[in-house]
Amino acid sequence: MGARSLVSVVDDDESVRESLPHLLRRFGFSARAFSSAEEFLASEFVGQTSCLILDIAMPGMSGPALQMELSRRQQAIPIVFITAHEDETVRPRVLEAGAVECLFKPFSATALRAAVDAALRVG
Amino acid sequence: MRDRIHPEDLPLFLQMLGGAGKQFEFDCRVQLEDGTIKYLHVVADAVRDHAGGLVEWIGAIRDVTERHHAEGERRRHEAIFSEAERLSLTGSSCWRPPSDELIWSKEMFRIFDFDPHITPTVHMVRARIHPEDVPHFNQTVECAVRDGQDFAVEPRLLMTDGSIKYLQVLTHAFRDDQGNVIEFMGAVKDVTEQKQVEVELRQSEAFLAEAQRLSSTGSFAWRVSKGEIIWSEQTYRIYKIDPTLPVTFDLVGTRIHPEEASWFQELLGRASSEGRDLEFEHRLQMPDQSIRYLHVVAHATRDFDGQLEYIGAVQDVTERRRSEDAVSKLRSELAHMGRVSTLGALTASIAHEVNQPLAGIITNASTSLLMLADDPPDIDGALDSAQRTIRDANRASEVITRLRALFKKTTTASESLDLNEATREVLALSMSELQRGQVIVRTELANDLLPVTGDRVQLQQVVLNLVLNAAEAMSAIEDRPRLLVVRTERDEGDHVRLTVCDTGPGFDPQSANRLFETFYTTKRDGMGIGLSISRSIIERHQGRLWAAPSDGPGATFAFSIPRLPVLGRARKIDDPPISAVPNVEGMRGTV
Repeated sequence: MGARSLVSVVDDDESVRESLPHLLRRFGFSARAFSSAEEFLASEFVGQTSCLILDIAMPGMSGPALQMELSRRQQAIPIVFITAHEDETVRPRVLEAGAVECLFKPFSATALRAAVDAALRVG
Repeated sequence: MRDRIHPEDLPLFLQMLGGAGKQFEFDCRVQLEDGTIKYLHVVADAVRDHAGGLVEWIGAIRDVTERHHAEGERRRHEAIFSEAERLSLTGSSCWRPPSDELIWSKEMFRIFDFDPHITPTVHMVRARIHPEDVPHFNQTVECAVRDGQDFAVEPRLLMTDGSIKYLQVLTHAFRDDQGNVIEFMGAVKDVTEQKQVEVELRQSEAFLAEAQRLSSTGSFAWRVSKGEIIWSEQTYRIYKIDPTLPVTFDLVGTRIHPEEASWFQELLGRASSEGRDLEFEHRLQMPDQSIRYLHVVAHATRDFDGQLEYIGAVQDVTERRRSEDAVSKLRSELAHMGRVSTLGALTASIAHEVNQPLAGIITNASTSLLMLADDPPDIDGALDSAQRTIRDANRASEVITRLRALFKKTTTASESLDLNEATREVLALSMSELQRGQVIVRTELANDLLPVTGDRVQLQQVVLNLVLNAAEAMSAIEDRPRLLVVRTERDEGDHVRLTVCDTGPGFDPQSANRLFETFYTTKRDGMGIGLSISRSIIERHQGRLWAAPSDGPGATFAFSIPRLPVLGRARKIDDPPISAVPNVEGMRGTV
């Protein structure tokens, strides 16, 4: 296993974009942050991404919409959703659609690590 | 003599005297010295010689003045009768069955439209009668002739232009000693116009009945002194009472809703003594227990004898009331949903705004710890993470500050306002909600209340909040009236006080203070925000808002504010208004 697995973070919130990549790198992954689903899709990193940490509610294309778009493109990237909305109904919905995990903000570093590890095992 | 003869008669007189006739006879007028006129009848024979020459006139002159006057009187009477016949469209006729002789007055010719110069015959009369009416007419006349009886008949005439005339014929039979009819004297009246009016009246009655049925409106008359009530068909239908029954108040009483029976009695008593116009709504309870709503309007009037009489209309407004109720219920449900979903959205939005920086804080702190735990520790990385932690914590703090600004607007628009008037506006706004909740509102607004200085809209929000809370608190009360009392009064220290009392379940005195805490609620679907916002508004007016148990069942909420608060803090225009939820949504993009 040469290069380290790339974990991409897509979130419109700056706090998350600035903090999560540092933590992910500390976990031993390489990490990149995108402020929107559109920015991620337009980038060269879609094919290299081993795990996607994806915000649910974003201006423009939402997290679940990106999930559908990737599945349409047959890009089977394991997804860990993160959301600041405490909506209990959203979790079963995205899991049913194939997501590995759904974490509610604020989440612990341990929970994140477990979710990313699970995602990479799936991948 | 010549001088005395009336100038108009003189030429004829001279002509007679000079004529070649053997005899003449004529009437002439002579004017006496006193100016009176005498009528003379002159008869004269000529005495002639052998050659035929006139020798002399031998004659007689008779004073016929008396007879002449009688003749004139008779003619005048005839003229009057003829005119009366013409005006009343009534002709006179005499029929002598033995000879079939028929004698008609002028008007008869006009009615039958016959040439007045011909001699009328029974055959002509029968030919004029409407074919459909001929058999009945013949039969009536035959019977009358046979039995020697008077007869009356109402045949129609079919005129040559195809039009129809309606006649009313009344006759009297004159008989000889053997009882045989000698003649019938009759009056024949053309009643076509009356018939037409009658037909039109019947038609408009039919229209009216139809209109009453379509509009669910019945009419009635009540002759108070005789206790007589008359109903239209539709009124019977509205009350679901057999239309063959005479209407009595006992009968009406079987339909009046039991809860309104005594009120109705009182109303009737007042109406019969005061004689004023009436307008009211009341309920009927039908035999199948269903409820109907009626709107009644009655006009008090006096009949021919000066007796009090009510003439009125009664409309079944049940359907309208039901749809109004449904609309009002829907509106209220929507308003409630709006309130709940607004507050729900508000809470979700707050949680979202706070959770974002919290996620950053935890992630950064975790990163920092991991970096410090490394061997060797990544001090620079840990410092960076710690810096980001502080930044995110500040972001969270900003969210809270913004939220506080939202709930505790620091400035107040100050104006002089009449708290009574502001309260009346709130009650008017919430009237349909209160009515729907069957809340009885009693206002005791002090007359001597001086104007206060404050934020009208904010104070109205407080009153509205207290009023709606009270109404909601009473929604499950069934065993007592849902009474809402809103009172204003002067309070000590140049304060004014507003009190809202309800007859709801009240509250536990121990939790009285907790009522005003944010997110404390006793309501199943309440958010616990209203009272805390209300208290902060009153505090900004340097007043006090408190709760106390009512004297009877229920709760009392009251606030007291100074008439002239010292609004020390500077006014900031940019502060979000208290109800501006969209600003909360707007926070998302900036945090």
